[in-house]
Amino acid sequence: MSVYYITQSQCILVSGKTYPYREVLRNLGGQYQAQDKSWLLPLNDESLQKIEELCRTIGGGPQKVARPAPAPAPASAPPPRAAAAAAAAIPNETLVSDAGFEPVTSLHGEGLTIAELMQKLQLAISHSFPRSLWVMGEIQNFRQTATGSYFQLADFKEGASRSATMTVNATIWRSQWLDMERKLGRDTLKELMADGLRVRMLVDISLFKDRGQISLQVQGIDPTFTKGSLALAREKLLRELRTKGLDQKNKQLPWPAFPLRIGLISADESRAKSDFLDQLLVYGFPGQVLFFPAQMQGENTLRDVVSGIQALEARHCDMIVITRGGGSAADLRWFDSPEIAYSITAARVPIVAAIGHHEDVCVAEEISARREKTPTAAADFCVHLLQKTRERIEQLSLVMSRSMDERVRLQTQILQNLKARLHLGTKQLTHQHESHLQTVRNELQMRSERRLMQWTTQTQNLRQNLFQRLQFLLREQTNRRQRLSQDLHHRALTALLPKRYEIEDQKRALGSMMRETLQQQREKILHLEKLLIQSDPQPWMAQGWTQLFAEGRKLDRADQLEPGMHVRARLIDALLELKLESLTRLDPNKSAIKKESSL
Amino acid sequence: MKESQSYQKMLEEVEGLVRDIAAPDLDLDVMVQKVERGYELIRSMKLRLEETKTRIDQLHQRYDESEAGT
Repeated sequence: MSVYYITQSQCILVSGKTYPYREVLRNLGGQYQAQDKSWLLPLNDESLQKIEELCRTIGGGPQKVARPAPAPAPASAPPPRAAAAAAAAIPNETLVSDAGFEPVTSLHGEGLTIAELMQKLQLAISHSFPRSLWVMGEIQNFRQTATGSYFQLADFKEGASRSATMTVNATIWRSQWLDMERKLGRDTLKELMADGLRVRMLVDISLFKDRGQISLQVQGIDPTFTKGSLALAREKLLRELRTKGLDQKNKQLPWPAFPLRIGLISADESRAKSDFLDQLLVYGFPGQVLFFPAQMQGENTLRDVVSGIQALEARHCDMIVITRGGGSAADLRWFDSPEIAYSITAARVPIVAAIGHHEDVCVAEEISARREKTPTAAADFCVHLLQKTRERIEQLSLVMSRSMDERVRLQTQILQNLKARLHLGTKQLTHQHESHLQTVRNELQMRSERRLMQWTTQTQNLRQNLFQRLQFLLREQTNRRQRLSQDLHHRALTALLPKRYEIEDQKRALGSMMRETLQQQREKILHLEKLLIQSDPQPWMAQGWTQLFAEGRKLDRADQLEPGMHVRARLIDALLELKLESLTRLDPNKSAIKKESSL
Repeated sequence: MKESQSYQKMLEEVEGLVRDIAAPDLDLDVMVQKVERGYELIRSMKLRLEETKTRIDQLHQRYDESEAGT
């Protein structure tokens, strides 16, 4: 796919595969020339720069205008369409020489016969294309017979349907085929000559006058062009997928840990299918394989593979394997198609592509989650997934066990540390509390003591003041008392002086009276002494008389006596204790004795 | 947690009492009441601390015993 341009005095003429870039060209102010299939752009630096950049990106470049020349276009000549477009845009410049033509004139004034026309056309063609030339197109309806190979070369109109093609018949005669086989090799030639392939062929142009058809006689083929074309299409598709971020989409899907439901897309009764299944059987694959028969070569490949992917995905396969038993590059080109590529990118399960081409990797393999070279290898991979999962489980089990042990050990250590910290922390905390409590207690004690001391000092001061005050008052009172006492004494002395005099008088009077009284008493005593002397019983007792006493009284009358009474009788030298036993009263007149009682 | 708060409240009360005692116009009888209350609280708090220490030591010992057992 290339774009060519021609710079003219006031415009740029762009031709080639311009359809995908029509918006770019339109934005540059281009106008599409339908009859020439080219774009006319205003000439300016920006447009020129953009066009050159476009050509560098996708291929192509400045197109030299073909000058009138007798020789046909060389092998490296630009594509005919571009040349034609250039020629169409420049009326004065023609692609081929019309030197062999004569003005069309009627022989009989009625025009040419078909034979004449054919002859002139054949002549014109031979003049225009005196040598073989390279043409490019896609092979269609290829068939081989004993005499030769027959097909059409086609160009597709850009953006139009596939049926809108321009075709021309082409033939490779058997002798030429054999010659090409010798040059290129049988396999290579067979790979190149297949429907759908775009080829570059060296051809001679001839006209079948009977049918009025142009036919190309193939003289040679450029194998690098076809491969390059395939590669270009492949690269374009890959670039497109990368741009859309789809090339890694299937690769990013996770592989199933247990691929026990595998979808298989392959040709029925093919070796690839049997190899795949046999290999699974060898390993004793425990799962299930859902087979979707598909044509793995030819145009139906696209339809079958796309349908297979969708169908197997709908049946909840864990993964899908697309495999075939190898083949030529031409056989495998179907797997470079956008249809299969987009189907793979849209798949929600990982796809293993074992298309079987060892040298080049087709797009389907490129964007699939995994590429395997053979169906057997694909089966190995499926089994490997299971094995890997088993190993992973065992490994994880081991890791988990170790991890748990380590975790338990770590947690135990953490617990020990926490315990120590807890113990230490609580000790420290309680110690802090104790210290604080002690501080508070000391503070309380100190403040209360200080307070008490203040109060004590205050009280002592008060007491001292009070004492001093009392001392003062006492002294005051003492002094006052002394003064009063002195005053009183003085006053008393003053007041008592007359009394003293009076007392002195009375004292003297009393003395006098005392003396008188004493004298009187003395005289009384003397009188009494006399009386006593007169009453002394001694002389009487000496005469035998006695005196009775009872209870300190002298008894001299009978009335003072009672029978049984104890009485005392005094003698001159003795004192008698007597008991009255009988009493006889005496009649004073008769002096008779009357006994009152007997004792 | 409740005991801790109670301890904290007691501590705050004691600290308040200590502050109150420094007041210049404090009555002697009131001061005596406050000092009594302060010493009562301090005694309770010391008791609480002792109980806590004992409890912690017991827990520690019990843990060590269980560790030794395992």
